[in-house]
Amino acid sequence: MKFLSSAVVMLSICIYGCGSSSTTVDDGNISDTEFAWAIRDGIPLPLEPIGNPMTEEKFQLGRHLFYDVRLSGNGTQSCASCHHQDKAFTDGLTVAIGSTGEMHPRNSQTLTNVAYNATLTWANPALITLEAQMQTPLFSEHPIEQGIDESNQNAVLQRIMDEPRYAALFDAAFPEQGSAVNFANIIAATGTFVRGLTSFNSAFDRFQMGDAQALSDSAKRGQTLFFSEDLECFHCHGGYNFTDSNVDRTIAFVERPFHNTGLYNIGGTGDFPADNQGLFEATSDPSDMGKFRAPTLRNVELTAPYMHDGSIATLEQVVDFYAAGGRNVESGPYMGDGRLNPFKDSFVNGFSINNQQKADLIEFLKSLTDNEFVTSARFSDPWN
Amino acid sequence: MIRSIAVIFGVATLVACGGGSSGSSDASAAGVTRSVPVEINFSAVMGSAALACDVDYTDVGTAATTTQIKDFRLYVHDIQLVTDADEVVALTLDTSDWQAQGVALLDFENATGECTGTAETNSAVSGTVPDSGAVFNAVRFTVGIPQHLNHLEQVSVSPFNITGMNWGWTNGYKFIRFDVPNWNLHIGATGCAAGGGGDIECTHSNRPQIALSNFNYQTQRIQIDFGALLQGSDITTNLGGPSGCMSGGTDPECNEVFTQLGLSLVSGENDPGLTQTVFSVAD
Repeated sequence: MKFLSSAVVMLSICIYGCGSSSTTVDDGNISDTEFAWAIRDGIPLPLEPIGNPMTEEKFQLGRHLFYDVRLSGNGTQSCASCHHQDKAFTDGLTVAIGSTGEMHPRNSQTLTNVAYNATLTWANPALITLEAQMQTPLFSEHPIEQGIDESNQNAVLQRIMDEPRYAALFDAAFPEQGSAVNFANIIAATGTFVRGLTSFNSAFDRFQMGDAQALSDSAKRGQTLFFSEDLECFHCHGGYNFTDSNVDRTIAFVERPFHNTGLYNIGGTGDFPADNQGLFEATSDPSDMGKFRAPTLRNVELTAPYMHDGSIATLEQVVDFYAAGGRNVESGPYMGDGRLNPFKDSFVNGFSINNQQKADLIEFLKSLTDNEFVTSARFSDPWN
Repeated sequence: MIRSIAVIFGVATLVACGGGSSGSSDASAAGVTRSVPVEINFSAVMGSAALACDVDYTDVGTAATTTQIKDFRLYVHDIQLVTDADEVVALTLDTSDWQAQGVALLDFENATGECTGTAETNSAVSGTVPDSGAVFNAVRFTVGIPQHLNHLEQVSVSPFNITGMNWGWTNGYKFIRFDVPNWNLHIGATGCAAGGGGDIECTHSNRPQIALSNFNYQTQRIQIDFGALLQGSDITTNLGGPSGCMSGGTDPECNEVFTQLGLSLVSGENDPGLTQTVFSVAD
């Protein structure tokens, strides 16, 4: 693959052979890694960028950086400000708020198993590595998130250099580099930590591994409903990571899908709110209006509110939304019947569901909660 | 839409490999042509006034607005000189903090006043052409960064590591960044997506191709007129999308700007029916 090496190859700058292609990932050996992934049997390893292979030292440095508010223009916001471990690395807000108070149009996404996402962020077909994605929260201007820019970037680096704990961490992560405190290494290390945020230890996983008692009868009934052709949930939320936007070392043909679920249909034209038009923002293709990446449903119990704009508060309401086959916005600036959105995915057709079935379905979704993931010291704030 | 800026990396040494090597070579081996150095100078203006930070410009755009500039930077590549015999000769760019791999960054803001970039400026492109004795009387170049370099992640070499020119949402670069307060012009390739194999491809190239005749590089310069670029735009109003034009195919502010650059907003290619107004030859 060309030019996707998330590499931070600081010294060899005949950049990837001066225009020749470079490989993004090491997919030659599905078990080849220097990193202790600690992923259960039956789950393939995620990709590691050739230019930024996983190491424990980079993971530990990245963990410190992820939780460090120094890594923002005004020193008030870290990655963890919008990605709280106890909420499966979401923030509980409708939409994210940046370091200078700007509202982000989107809801903060879970970092559960992002190593497996075929694309990163809600709806961007060009972002397929965490190292590329991360430049948006760090440096974006519209809206400002962590707010690092040309006026403060040197001060940010100086803050990092001035923290005594970092010298040894950078030295260990990037040995043989004279001056390792730079944004390339910061991104490589933080990307390594986030790539390591894997979650395959839920009740559902224990059930898959042979513990028949791991799921309640209600959850088992919910599982049947979830995987039924009546509800169709699994078409977009299938596979071991409960999303169809999935890539791992065993996958030869990568799909990068996006879906319109009929959340809006402003004026009956198919439109979505101006700052939340999904894939259309990247492609300008009218049929891409309102298409977003299906997020994993792992830890979904902990990641309310839901949807790209946080506009649905509870899992019960999400089930009602899909049962209705979309959302009819009856008043206000976004008025329009989303159920009739011309770009709506063909699997969002609505279904009949009674209260018991709804409770069962939600019981199954809750069986995807990984309590170890959200409490593990390994993923926790090292500054506390 | 999300815009982002890039990573600053430590300075790295560029390994010379085809197209990026600098300097002239001595004619020694048979068939090797001696090179001569060429410097092409650019200047930036707002109408009749030189462009600079911390200066009030009046009568800008269709609303005759008074404004200052915030940013004025652009990349150029594929620079060619044309002889009086209509032969096209490629300029081989030198390598410096401003130039690498055949791409040069021009920078007319110095971070004073409203300007938000860096103190350093650059208004010239330097390179070599074969010493053929030809007389050059025209110039051609393409604005932007070529596709094969536009999606290199985390390139730790200048001028690809300029924070304000990175465009994270496209996994690429802003080719042109001309900003005034509350109205930004970011021209770059759009419709970018990763293919199955991971290569980033973009549906809209948005790289203006400029050809200027009657140009003597030794005595004249290429003038870039921000006023001309804004002549059809009301910089006090946002009709939709981001404030100003960020190259979106449906951003109403982009129509006029693309027209001035000679680009089709629909295709992202040069429109033969349009004549760009932004670049001209000046004495």
